[in-house]
Amino acid sequence: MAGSSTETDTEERTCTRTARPWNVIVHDDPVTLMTYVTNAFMEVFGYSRTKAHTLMMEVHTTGRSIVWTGDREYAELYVARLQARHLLTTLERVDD
Amino acid sequence: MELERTPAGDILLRDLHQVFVDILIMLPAVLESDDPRVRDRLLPRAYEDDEEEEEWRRIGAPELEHLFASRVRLIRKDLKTLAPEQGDVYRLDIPRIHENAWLSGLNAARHTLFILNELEPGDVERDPEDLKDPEKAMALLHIHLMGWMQELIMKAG
Repeated sequence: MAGSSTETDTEERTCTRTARPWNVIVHDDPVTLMTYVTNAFMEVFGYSRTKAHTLMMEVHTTGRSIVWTGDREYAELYVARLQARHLLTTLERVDD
Repeated sequence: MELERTPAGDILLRDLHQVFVDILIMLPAVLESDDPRVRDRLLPRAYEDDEEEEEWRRIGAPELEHLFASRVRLIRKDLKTLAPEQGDVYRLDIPRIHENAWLSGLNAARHTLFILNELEPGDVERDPEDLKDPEKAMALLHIHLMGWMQELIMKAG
């Protein structure tokens, strides 16, 4: 039946859209203080100072860092919190 | 500029010289810039895909804009405490619960000055006196001094 098929397709698309993990990526910018970035990672994710500092240094030296990976809903929440602090933050679907 | 914690845990910025007073007074206006380049930086893309980005903007952008506006209101309210001390210096009281608003507001202001004055990434590492354009030099000085304020507030943790 066409109706059932469409519903199944929709369900599959929805599951695919939400089930695959997403990366939260922070990009380097020339203005934001390094200490501010470290503090932001500690506040937003609850990371230790050591882990937050390591991620901040990765952003600074390579231009970007994957700072969190997981469900899309949470990823969007983290992006919003980081963008609220004016960190350049994007979302990328994890590659297969 | 010096920072003290009050017994209640609030911040007291003291020994603020005129250059800091000038920066603080202009802060709300800087944060309310409607320049599209500033808006693009403060509300950047989250998604590469246009359709996903459009949905993100529809839901997320109004919330962020509301947050930024309420942050300016808090900063403007705190600036009413700016008062002269003995000599030519001033003091400013910042309630503990407003600290994050100030830290993020100062970060936004630094980005805004950077963009509006068309500074280059390498300029941020330079001494303002090394810039030939006096307006750029002044903007860079303000960016450095705002960064110093951020550092002081974060160290007072």
